[in-house]
Amino acid sequence: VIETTPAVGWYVFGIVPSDAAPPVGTSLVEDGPFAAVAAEVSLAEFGEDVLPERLNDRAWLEEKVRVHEAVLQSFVGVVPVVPLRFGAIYHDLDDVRRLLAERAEHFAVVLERVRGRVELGVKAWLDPTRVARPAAATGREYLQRRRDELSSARDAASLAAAAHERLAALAEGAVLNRPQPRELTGRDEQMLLNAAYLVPEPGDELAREVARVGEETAAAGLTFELTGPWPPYNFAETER
Amino acid sequence: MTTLAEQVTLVELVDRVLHKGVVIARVLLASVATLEEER
Repeated sequence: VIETTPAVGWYVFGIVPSDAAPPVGTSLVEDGPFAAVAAEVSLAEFGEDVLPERLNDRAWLEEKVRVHEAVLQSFVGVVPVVPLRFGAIYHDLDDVRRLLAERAEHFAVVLERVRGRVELGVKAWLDPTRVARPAAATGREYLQRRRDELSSARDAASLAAAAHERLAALAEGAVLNRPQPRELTGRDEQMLLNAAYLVPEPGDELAREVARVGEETAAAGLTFELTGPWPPYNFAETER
Repeated sequence: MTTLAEQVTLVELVDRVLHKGVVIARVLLASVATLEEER
């Protein structure tokens, strides 16, 4: 029996089959066929009263987010895992076991769905400067150039949407997320597509299609970026 | 200094870890809603 003190809690990273091996620094809290991947944390760091301030500490947040990802990533390609969102902290292990029991049906469905599959992320970016245009010498030429730019942007958006349809057709699950604004990405290009796909591991077929789409749309100023394989963050809910 | 690729990955990582995954309603800590509102 592991005893806890009031000053600690249990951070739960995700849910795995109970016969999985826990990464270093974590424990498996089992209940039936499933187990929560958990680690003891100090409430001086994760307590309700201090967490809001911590979340505004970029360095702290980056460190904890990377730990969360590293723990879940260790299961990718090994056993299925259901990621929990950052910040699931329980007072004691009985509460963790209660979570497993109460959400058993959900975890069973999702674990089966993501078994042998990985999540790949695809983003499409528009860089208007990659589309060559003549310099505008007159007001009329400037207006025409602006019209051309707007038309090109619409075309690029259509191309990105068509690319998503092609990629989704190869995937067993697809999630279209809201493109991130420039303030968040810190990039000059405009994000037109921010999607995630659930594909059989290792995801080579989708990767090849992303490369093909990228080649076909490069002249329109589009570039495609592939990331992953990720734990199935975007497919942790049953309805997706 | 982090490279552009590292920055992109970090943005993507933060987006997944903070905004995706199973949301557990009855946990000790409510959520990271405060952060999301500020973003």
